[in-house]
Amino acid sequence: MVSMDPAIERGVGGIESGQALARPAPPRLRLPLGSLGALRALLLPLLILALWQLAVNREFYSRGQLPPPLDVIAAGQELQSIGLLVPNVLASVQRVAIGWSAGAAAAIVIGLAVGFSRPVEGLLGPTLNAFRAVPSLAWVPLFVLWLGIGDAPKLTLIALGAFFPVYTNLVSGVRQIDRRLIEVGRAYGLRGWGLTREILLPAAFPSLATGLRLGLAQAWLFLVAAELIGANRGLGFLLVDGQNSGRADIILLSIVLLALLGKGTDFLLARGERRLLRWSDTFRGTA
Amino acid sequence: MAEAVSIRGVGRVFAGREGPVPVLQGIELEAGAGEFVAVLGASGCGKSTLLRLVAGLDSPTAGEIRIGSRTVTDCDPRCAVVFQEPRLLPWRTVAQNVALVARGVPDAETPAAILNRVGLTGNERSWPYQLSGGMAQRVALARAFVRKPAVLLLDEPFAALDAFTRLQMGDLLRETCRDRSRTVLLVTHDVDEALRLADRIVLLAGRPAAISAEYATAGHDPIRLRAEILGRFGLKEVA
Ligand SMILES: Nc1ncnc2c1ncn2[C@@H]1O[C@H](COP(=O)(O)OP(=O)(O)OP(=O)(O)O)[C@@H](O)[C@H]1O
Ligand SMILES: [Mg+2]
Repeated sequence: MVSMDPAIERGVGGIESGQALARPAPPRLRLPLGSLGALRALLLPLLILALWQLAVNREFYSRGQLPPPLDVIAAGQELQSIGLLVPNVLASVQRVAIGWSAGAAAAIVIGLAVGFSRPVEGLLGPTLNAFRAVPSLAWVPLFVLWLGIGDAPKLTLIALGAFFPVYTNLVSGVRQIDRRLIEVGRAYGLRGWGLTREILLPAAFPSLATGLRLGLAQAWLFLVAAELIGANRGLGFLLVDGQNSGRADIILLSIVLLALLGKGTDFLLARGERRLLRWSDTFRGTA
Repeated sequence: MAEAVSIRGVGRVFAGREGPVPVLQGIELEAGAGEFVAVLGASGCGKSTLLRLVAGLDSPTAGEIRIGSRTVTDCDPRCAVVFQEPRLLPWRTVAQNVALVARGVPDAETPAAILNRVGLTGNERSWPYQLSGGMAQRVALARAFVRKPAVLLLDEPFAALDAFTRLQMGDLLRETCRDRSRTVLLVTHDVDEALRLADRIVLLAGRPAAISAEYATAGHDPIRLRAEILGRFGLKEVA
């Protein structure tokens, strides 16, 4: 090993004279977004709250039509005191959890098969795409007719809503896998389920994760649709109830709760996704 | 234990946009059990194509390839391949990449031990994207070694390495194969590498390509052999 001249390593002279020439950069006018960290995400909600309060103060609508933010919290407390808040939230969360899991599981099995095998794609692909073209709410009357008005038609609808984003993203994810990695798997003796587990699923995982998150958003959408149509529990039920009793505060409360729950569950999925994708070397946006 | 590789009358025709493209034709090559054969040829002549056929990743359009007594129809678990690019699984760490293929290999070396042999101690937990090209290719070598394959198929495995590491890895390869426990097919366009490592050198040339000459290295003066081979490619020795 040849050791470097220490004078060169330290750059004697060069650095000092360079510093003498350097001028301080002129102060630039920019929003201090970088230093805010996680609080950045709260800027917009706070602005919306402020505008909301402003609209109330200016009396654009009557107080019954547009209650101030604090009234919404009071409505929550009122519901809580008569034991109606938590059960309704839990009912909706449970429906989404079951419907989404069922839809996603089916989509993963079918999506892998369709993505991996062209014969299976030929068999199932066109039909599934035709079903996807039907706006899913069109199935509601049929589900109610077949499954009654209990939880079964609601869960089916939510599962259906979750199925297609997962399925579509997974199929396209499998088809974008680098063929050379599949060859590695084959050359090293992986077949069938081994190849699926070790190569196909991890390689398609970024697309699958996108599908799962879109599917979750769809699940919440279809939950509300299902509960609006006929339910005696859940956030959709609160919405209908608020409408029937002319309680805008309860409607707004339900909307805020839906936003928080949707955001919260998506946040959990996003965290899991980030953990499982530590290996990926993709562009993550600038700081 | 090592298995002989026998390539008989093998051809491969690809379907091109303007009709069929014959890339290989009438390839005849026998590598005895434990023999180290280098396949030397210019870029684009069909070296990788030939190796893929032996690996069972592609099927010949003519002829037959056997490993031991078995005709190759699919990937053979007795083979290990080092591709021209590292092809590590990006979602597995370096050690996990090695461990995956070591499953089911009797008395397999630990990933740590084999990574030490290729000079990558301390990188066991790195993700592939954190490695340099040469480091990644050394992991790919370790991955092939850990299989203890009867047949080792190497597609220009050292091309991405610096001259220094290339010599080191060549020595390591020669060391690993000294006991003749594996048959090696090494595809390369580096004459010196072929001379240094192989028992026998075959030249692949022409369009479609065929074996145009064969040289045993034992008992030959490497300098004369080098000049002779370079002459075959129409090159003059730079003195
Ligand atoms: N799948 C394919 N379809 C059509 N042509 C192909 C295919 N694979 C290889 N070829 C052609 O076959 C020829 C040989 O390719 P190959 O990759 O075997 O070359 P090589 O000798 O390994 O070259 P290099 O030293 O640059 O790696 C090339 O002309 C290439 O265009
Ligand atoms: Mg090649």
